[in-house]
Amino acid sequence: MALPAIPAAPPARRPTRPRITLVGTALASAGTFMAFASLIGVYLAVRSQTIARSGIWFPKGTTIPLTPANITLFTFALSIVSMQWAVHAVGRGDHQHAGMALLLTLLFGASTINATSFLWSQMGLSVRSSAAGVLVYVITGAHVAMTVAAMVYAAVMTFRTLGGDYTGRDREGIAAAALFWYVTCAVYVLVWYAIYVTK
Amino acid sequence: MTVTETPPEVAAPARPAPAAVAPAARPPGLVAAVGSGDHKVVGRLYIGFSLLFLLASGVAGQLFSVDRVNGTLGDTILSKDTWFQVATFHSITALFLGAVPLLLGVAIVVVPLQIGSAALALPRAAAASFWGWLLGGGILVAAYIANGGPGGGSRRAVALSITALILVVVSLLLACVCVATTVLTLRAPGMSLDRTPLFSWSMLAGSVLWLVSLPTLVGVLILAYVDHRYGRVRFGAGGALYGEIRWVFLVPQVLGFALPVLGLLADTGATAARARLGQRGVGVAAVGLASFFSFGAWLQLSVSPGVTRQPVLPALALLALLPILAIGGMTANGIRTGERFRLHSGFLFAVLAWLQLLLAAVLGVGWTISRFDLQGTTYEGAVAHLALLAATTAGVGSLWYWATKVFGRPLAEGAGRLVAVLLFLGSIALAAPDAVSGAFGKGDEATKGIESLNALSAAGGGLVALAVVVAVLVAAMALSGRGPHAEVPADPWGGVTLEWRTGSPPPAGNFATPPRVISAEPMLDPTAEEATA
Repeated sequence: MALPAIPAAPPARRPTRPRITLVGTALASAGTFMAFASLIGVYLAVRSQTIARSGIWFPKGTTIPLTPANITLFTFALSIVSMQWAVHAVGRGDHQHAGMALLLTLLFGASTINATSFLWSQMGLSVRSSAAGVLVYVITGAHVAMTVAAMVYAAVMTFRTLGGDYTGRDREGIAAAALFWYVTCAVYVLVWYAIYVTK
Repeated sequence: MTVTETPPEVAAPARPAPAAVAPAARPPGLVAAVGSGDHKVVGRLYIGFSLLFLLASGVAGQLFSVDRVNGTLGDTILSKDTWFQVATFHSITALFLGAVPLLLGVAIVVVPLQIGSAALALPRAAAASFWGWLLGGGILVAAYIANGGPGGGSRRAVALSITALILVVVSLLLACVCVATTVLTLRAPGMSLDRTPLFSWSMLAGSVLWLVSLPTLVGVLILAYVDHRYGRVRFGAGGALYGEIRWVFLVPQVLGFALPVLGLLADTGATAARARLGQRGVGVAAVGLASFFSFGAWLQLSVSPGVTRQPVLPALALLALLPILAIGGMTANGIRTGERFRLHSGFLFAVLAWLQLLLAAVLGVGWTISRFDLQGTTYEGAVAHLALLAATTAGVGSLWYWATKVFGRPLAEGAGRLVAVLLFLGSIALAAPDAVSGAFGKGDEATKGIESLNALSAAGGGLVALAVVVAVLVAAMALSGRGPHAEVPADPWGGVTLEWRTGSPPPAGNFATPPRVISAEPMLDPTAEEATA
């Protein structure tokens, strides 16, 4: 017996309200990005001045292993895929896949925090020792804080969406959380290059 | 039980008239204020507390001015240990607890009304921004009292003051997000961005400028905090802390805090003439360009001391001057071709604030030219004073112009004109002597021989403080229900923008029916009945 054809999904409903959360998140993300841009600018300027003056940047005994930083970079790259998967699943009303994708994204986020804290333990750099110590811990610590904020925002927005706050196919909330997540990943690329690669 | 679809043969008895529903009990004053997400309540709170902080800042400024009259610092009413803290308290509170939150408070009340929105976007974030700002401001004042702030003697109090300033700036940024999101997403049907009233447009431009520049301040403050607590290497030790934040008081950034002056001038000018301003597109572009040219987060003097000597700085300062002139010209042309001219106090405030801003921008060009060697002198303070007083004059003037929307009653016109003139004369008397002493080689406050200029400057500061006191008293009377209020018209000035279409004070939801606009001046458009006729 031939199975009846599955009817095509109805077109996505237009959002019933303006994209307040998305626009607000975009503005907040721009501000956060600027804070990191300025910190990294200060880092590069002070590093350049210190090297010109004394010839070294990090104090003796400091090592900056690149492997944990690279792993963190790849983890963030993977998390972009899982986050977009969550956005896509929410748009299709697929609770199961949305939950799985969110869980995966949160796991990726947690693993980046773990990798960064491991890197801190390996560096042998004291915050009291030099301008380099202050700058490295401020920038990487602030980025860990941003990652935690992005994870909380993503979790809250996913649960709100699945709980019905954003009805039907309106995925503005999770899209906003995803935008902040992507900015977090983009900031890490700057941190990775400025601190871990150039050393 | 059987259910049929057959209609009943007999008519259903007429429904009884619905009993009048008692309105929900409104919580009493403090509870209503603390728990409210209503943009009018949050905006009023911002306005009230920012005026009080302005008073505190004015008192500190006067102490500093009087102390330096004899040409030296810290040997009359202030000590050698405290004069620097008093000076930084004055400047930081004037900007972050006074002028900027005053303008944001006005915007939180007025922008949704101007663009025909029923509410502010992200209202709970706006309320959180206010309470965070107030908490941060209170802690900042307490930290200064406990010997904190830049140059403070107590290490813990200095750390506390840095934390408080971070909280204050982050809270203000949150308010900027709310204002900018409102303009971008909640405009009435038919109101494209180029039809947005110029005050709302200037608040959008200003909010975006502050959103992309002030996070830099947050970043360096975090750096200063960590360094102060743990490293004590370079970024925040002792008086060096002020060096980290000095760029916000320099051209071009300081001009960006007065951006709403441009919008206020255009809107009040259109009201004064009851006319559509010609070359509106020029005005929209001018405000946007003024925002662009005022970006000064790259002037990180603590990292690159020579950055203010780069040739791009005078070019930017010159370019920042052009939009100010363009808005002035556009408004003057609108007045010239308008159907009437009514000099209401709001327009007087706006014109005087524009003149202050123009003067600040002109003097700012001179400051940026390195061969004049004005950087680090009192000339620098004169420019900052003029720009911040332009923002303050515009903020206080907004209260008079939109008093019926903010307070639900008009403010006395005579008092308004008096405050406007006092603010203007005070700002000139405050800044001109400093500019002269800075320009002619006696800019260092510790130099003898500039007593008369210092005394004149102190007198100017006194006039400004007096104007703020009068404004606070009039605003307090309005909030307490005193003052003229027999009949509160929806549109006391014959305005042209949408906020004048709703009642005074605006009802819950702001508009009885959602407005739809077909031009930038909806109050000049024919109504539906007129169009039909």
